[in-house]
Amino acid sequence: MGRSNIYISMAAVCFVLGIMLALQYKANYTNDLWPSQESQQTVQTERLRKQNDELINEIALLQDKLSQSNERVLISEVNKMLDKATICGGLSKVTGPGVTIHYYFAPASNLLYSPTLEMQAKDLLIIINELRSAGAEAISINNHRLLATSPIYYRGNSITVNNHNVSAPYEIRAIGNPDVIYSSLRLKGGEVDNLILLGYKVDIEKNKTIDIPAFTASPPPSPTTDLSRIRQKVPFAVIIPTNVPDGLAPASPLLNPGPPASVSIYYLSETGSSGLLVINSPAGSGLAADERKTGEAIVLRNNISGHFLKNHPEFGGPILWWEESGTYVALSGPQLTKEDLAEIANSMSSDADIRQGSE
Amino acid sequence: MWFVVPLFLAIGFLGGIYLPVILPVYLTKYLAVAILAALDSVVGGVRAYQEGNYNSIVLITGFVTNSLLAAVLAFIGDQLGVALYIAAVLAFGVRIFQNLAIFRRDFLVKTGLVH
Repeated sequence: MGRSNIYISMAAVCFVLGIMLALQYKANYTNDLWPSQESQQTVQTERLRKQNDELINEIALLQDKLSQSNERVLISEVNKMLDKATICGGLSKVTGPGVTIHYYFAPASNLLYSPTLEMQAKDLLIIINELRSAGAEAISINNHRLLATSPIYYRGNSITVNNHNVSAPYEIRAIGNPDVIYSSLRLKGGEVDNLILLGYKVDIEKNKTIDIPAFTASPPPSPTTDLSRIRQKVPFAVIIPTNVPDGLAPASPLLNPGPPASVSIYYLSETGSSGLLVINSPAGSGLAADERKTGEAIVLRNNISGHFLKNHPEFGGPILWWEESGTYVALSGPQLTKEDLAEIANSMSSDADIRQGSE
Repeated sequence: MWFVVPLFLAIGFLGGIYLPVILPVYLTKYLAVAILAALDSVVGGVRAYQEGNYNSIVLITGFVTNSLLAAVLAFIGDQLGVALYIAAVLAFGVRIFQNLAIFRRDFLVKTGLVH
């Protein structure tokens, strides 16, 4: 009994120890971790979870701020774009610092030529180009607002901007940095210097505030309405060719107030050069007033006696003039012959409407 | 005796594994020092058996009280913030090695490998 006592107690103690070991093992190794690591991991997990929560809060806060500022930034960006587009589109009046240019052609006695309309229009374009490259934001010529799409076109007797007629003296206003624009214009040997050499008189003025009006376009002039308008204004009959040489289209008839009043109609070819010029003015004016300009006699319709003058093309070509119904009429065209002019003259009438030659 | 200890250790171990009890994680520390104390009792019992002074009452009471005392000491130490479990570890660790040494010497002398 004593011996088995030993065995029994020992066995019992070992059994209990075994259970304790098993429990400890189970408790420690259920997480696939060594026990020493586990405490570290727990601490770290706790720390990371706290950090995570803080970061989530921060994210929410920042997102809120971002959406707010996004809206504000978006709105201000859109507003900026709108302002820019309005200025470029010329929809509104613009005010700001800038430069005013007055220039006109001042013929000096020692100059042999005066610039044609084409040259004047091109000089205008040169100045506008200089202004644009100097950063002008809004430009107007004789108070007509210039857009990026505004044509400067020479037509017959005058230059048109946005289908408005402009004539010398030209006042160009530009809004931008006054110093930059002024110095770029007055560059030694620059465009302005060239113009002055050509005989233009150019005055540039820096201004603190300049007003430039909004863009307005008058409807393109239709020669017929202009003609009827002019007919009402002049005391003489306006006599118009009904047979126009091929390829010529009439520009708007121009009224020169004179005195004496005169109406000129340029018929332009496709390239824009003048193919025929018809001038009407009161009888006794124009070449009729000059005894030397009788020229070669020609008989026209209705027994009208016309006068033909040979003339070099660079001076406008041959001229055929006569008087009928109290109107002095003159035709000229650089490429036209005496026969062409006579044909045209014989087709003219005081009731005719303006028309163009066939293509 | 030589097969009792490992056999019943193994049986107890297997039984513990299949026991549906899972110890809460915070108790593992205390169980660890209790195991140390229990181990010391077992080694002491083996030594006593070798010497011939085996007393089962001493064995069992020593086993129970030492284990309990070790766990309680560790617990109190945690509450106080002092690592009192170290005392248990030291004490029982030393005793295990001592008992083992005594047993070994006695065993070797008794079996004639050493005089």
